[in-house]
Amino acid sequence: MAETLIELARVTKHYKRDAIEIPVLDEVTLDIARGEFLALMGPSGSGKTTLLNLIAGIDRPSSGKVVVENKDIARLNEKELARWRARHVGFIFQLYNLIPVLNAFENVELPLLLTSLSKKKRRDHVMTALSVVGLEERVNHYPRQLSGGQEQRVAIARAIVTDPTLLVADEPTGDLDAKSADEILDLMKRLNEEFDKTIIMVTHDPHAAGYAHSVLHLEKGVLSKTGGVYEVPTAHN
Amino acid sequence: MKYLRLIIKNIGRNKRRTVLTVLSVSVSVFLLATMRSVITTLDSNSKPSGAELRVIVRRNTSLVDAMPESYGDKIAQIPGVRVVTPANWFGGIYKEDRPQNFFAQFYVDAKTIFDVQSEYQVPDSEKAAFQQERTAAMAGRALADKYHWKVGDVIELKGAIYPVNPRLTLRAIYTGPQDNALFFHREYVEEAMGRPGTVGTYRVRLDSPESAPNVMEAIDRMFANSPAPTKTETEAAFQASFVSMLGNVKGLIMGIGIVVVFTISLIAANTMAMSARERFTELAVMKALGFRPGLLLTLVLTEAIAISLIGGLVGALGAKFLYKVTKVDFFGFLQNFDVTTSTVIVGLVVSALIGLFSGGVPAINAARIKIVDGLRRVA
Repeated sequence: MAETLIELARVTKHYKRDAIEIPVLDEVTLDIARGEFLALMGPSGSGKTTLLNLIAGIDRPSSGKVVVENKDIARLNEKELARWRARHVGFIFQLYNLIPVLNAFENVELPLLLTSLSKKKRRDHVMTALSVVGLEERVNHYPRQLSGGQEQRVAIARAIVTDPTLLVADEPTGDLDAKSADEILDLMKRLNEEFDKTIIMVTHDPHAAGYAHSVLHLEKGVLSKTGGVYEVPTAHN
Repeated sequence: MKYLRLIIKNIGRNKRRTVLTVLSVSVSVFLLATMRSVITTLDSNSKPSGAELRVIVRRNTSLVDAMPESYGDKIAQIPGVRVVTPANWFGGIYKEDRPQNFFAQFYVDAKTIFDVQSEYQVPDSEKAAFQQERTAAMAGRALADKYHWKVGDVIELKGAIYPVNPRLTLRAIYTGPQDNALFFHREYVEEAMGRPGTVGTYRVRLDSPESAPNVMEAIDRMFANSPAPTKTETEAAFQASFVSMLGNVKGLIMGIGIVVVFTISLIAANTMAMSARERFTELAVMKALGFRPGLLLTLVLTEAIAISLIGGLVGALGAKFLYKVTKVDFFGFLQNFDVTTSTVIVGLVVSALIGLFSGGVPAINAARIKIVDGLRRVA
């Protein structure tokens, strides 16, 4: 049986807007195994991005526990959480979120600036990450000089450059054409299979979800089947 | 150091805005450096070299009123006095009556002036030529350079206070402090005016600085009950009295300087805030990647301070360079006008403070940014 990487126990999340409390997640309990490629699906406002944010440590639950690699990240203070994210999580966003004034190399190097690596080692790591995504020839290109698919590949290189345990992707293909989307999904599948990255991906797209090992559905902040993961056999699995 | 490239790239993100911000800070620091230099030059001019060994005697009523010529010999008898020389302000017009042609003109005793103003350096041959010829004149190096005068040139002055139009021949050029003045013979003017025998000021050289209080008291006591009582003061106090005639000029200048800097700070703060707001999502992404709040605060603040410091450097060094090259003296009012190194340092410190003030709030906001809010803005 695969080792559990992420444990969510009765996690609730609500936001306050003026005096009104808006519930987003309701007592979500979930285990995710190491090496999993999980897709989170559900209608808009169902809480899937919020769930992803809680797992990635960029938001805190209103109650419940979020344990990643045996560490309750909800208990970490902001400084500790930042250090934890830098070490353990790689982010892939829908709109890539590259820094426009930095070229591909510098964008990928950004998370490494937080480490104590020498300039040479940082360079080696960046080049390795860029070669994994097939963009070693574009190191000096700025985001505006790249296509959407290439920008997302740079963003993936940035996400993997620190060799994190977990990759979180929020609609990674939402802004791409079908061909580029498939390339990105193939790349993510490769990262999962060849590099053992645990991937959690939020998507609206059933085609993208088909690349995952399993799919979770959220509806109004509640998992369709508490604590469970649906196996979704597709052509990609 | 590893963040330097990130800071530089962010500074160059919106080049036009950065250049305008740098310019606005540089203009304010330039003005501040100018205003501070007015004060330091006034201070410096009121403390000429050798001043501790000199006292100045004038009428106690006003500088406009004169003293009898006979006072000179009497003052020379007072213990502690080494030598006395009369000096009158001529105030003539050179070429045209324009402010830029204004310079200090004194008619003096050509023999004793060097005993009192011993800091004036003149070649012996020129000194002798000046002393021997009744219509000879001696100019300071800066003044001679300004009008491209050479020894032997004729200088014509038109009397504005006195009904005399001296036609002088430049025989000596001195170097030393206050080298923006022209000296010529008292004998020449006195004769031309029918020998009125009046003196505007007496410059008194002392044996030692310690004797100044006693000498000043003795001189004023000597003439206290005469028709022309005197007021004797140290040369520094005499020079400072000209500054005080302008009123609280220091307060006024510094007040204007503070208002200028404050206004520019607000403009710069708005620009920095705009820049940080535009990067709200980027800052949130950086925070998600693991950049700690303190680091983000440092980066944004360093950027603001760097932009301001560049402006400060341009403004302060620009002022120093410009005034050095143009040798501006504000129509003779501020001779030896100079932007000192301390003024340049003050300009840089003020520009850094502008950066700190203008970048403070955006930096704190960057540190406090909620990642989910920043990411939601584009999603």
